[in-house]
Amino acid sequence: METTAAKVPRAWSPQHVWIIALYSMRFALRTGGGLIFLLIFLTMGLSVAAIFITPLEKLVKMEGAESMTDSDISVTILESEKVVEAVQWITSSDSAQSEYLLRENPALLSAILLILLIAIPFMTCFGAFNQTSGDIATRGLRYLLLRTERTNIFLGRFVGVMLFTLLSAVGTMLVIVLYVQFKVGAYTGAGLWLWGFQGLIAIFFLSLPYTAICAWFSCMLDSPFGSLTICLLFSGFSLTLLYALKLTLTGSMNVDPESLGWLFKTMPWGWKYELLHGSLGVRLTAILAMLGFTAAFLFLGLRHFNKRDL
Amino acid sequence: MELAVKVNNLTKKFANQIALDRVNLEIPKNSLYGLLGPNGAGKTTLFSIAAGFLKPTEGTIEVLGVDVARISELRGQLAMLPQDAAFQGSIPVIDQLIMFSRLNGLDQNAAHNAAKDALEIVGLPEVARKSARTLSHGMMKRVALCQAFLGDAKVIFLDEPTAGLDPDNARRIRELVKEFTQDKTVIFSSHNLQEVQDICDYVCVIDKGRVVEEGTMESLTESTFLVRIELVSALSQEAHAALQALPVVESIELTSDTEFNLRLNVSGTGKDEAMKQIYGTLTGFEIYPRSVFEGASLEARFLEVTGGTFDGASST
Repeated sequence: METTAAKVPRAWSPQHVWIIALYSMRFALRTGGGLIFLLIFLTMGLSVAAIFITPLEKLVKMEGAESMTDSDISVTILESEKVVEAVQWITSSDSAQSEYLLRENPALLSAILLILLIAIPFMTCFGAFNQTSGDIATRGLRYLLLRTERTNIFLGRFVGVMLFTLLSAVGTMLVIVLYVQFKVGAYTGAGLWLWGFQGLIAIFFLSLPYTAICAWFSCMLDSPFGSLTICLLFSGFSLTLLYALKLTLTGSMNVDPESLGWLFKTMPWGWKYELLHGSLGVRLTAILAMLGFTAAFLFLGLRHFNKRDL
Repeated sequence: MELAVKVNNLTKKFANQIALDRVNLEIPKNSLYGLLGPNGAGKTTLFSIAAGFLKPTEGTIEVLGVDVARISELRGQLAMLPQDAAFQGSIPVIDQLIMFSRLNGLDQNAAHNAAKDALEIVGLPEVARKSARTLSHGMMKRVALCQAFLGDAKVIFLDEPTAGLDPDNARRIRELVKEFTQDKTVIFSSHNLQEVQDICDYVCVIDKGRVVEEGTMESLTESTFLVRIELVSALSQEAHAALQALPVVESIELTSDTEFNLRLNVSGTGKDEAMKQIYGTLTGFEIYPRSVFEGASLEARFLEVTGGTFDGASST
């Protein structure tokens, strides 16, 4: 008996990745999951913005402030020495970097971005937890498996989530920058928009490795709820673990805290503020680190996805 | 004979459970191949490995000469109706079919046309814009079937395509399968033995993960025949002995005083002659059947090889 060989070679296909990414974005919007993520992103972004903008607006209305413009008040407060020191502590950076954030760039936007970057690892989970887990549970992936490589499905879903995250971030940043420019009137011109764009880039690159972690967890679990829980726990637990380790080392083992800077660099979290650094070299290094983490998490996820039963 | 599918020593284990145990099969090209087996026999596992959903523990499956471990090389040539895979609930059916067609290599317009045509084929053009969760079970089954007919697949696996459908929908699907098998190989699993006997050229019976019977439909059904007879009065000892003495009767199973099952070997006599002998024997004892149910020959064979009992048959 002889068999007839089929000669239709096909391997990893960028075209398939793109098709799956586009449709997963469209389907995410229609199923409501994407809309919820968009709302979470916008709500979080605007809430952070409101934390900084509202007190400034109140100050503007206070007695004695008549002689100052809104812009003067905002800039005066945010660029004060106390705020510079606070930012230095938050970002674990030197005074030059704090001054870069608060005096060389729109300080109000910098403050919003610093808080937003803390929230990004957690917010990302809400958009990325269900990349494959739901379809593994309902076996809906099987219709795709007949038509394309597992690699294309995995990467397509990842790219789809990243595109959606980028769109959400663009929308959020657009609203924040417009509000800062027209409502608060603290800053105007290209500087504000350029800094907003750099903030957008920082958000995008920070969300990359966390979306990749979610892709990994999502293909390990058949339950979307389980996947969300693990993704959130990981984002929170890994930080708690690092802080606990740092406290232990500095407390009971008398290790110099300054020498433990590397500890947080073992996670994307430790690189987040470098994405807003004044030095281009540091920014590029941080971007490379984010890409490295993303590649590593994607590799681990893909290896699991390619091996598992679906 | 050219082969469409070749299964080599296939084994699949889930934890400690063996779902498939060294299965070997050869499925000829352009045949309609029936896969039978009780629940949990391993049919769906076999299909799932063939489609690349599950990884085999040992062994291989070749489809059109390509090991399914390299399933990407079979793009467009292999289609399947998975048993319980769900469409996205809130997405219009046609959008999902368009995506599948685009992955099959069509551009947007061609994919749209292919999706529309496929829905026409299964008689459901009106559901194109409806979301999957608004469709009935029967409609959903036909939509799932239509995705298997997108493109021009040469080998199609249909995992229980008529399960849970009303007779009319089941008949429609059988007709569709027959229409589409002119130049394709269809591997069809079902619990409906009569259905398999009616449409399949070849049949394989799997039980507890092992192939227990395989061959052409004729070779499996020509020798054994099952019949259930209900009598007006009780079957006497003498009549029982007389029936037992007939060469065509392999066994008699009494289910009540007035009802019994006969397993007949009709290889030498043919079905009609065998039944003539049964009627003649009974009327000789002035015993008259109230009703006679002829079981499908395949059913008799299936029960024989899987060790089941005859508790249902088609009425004649």
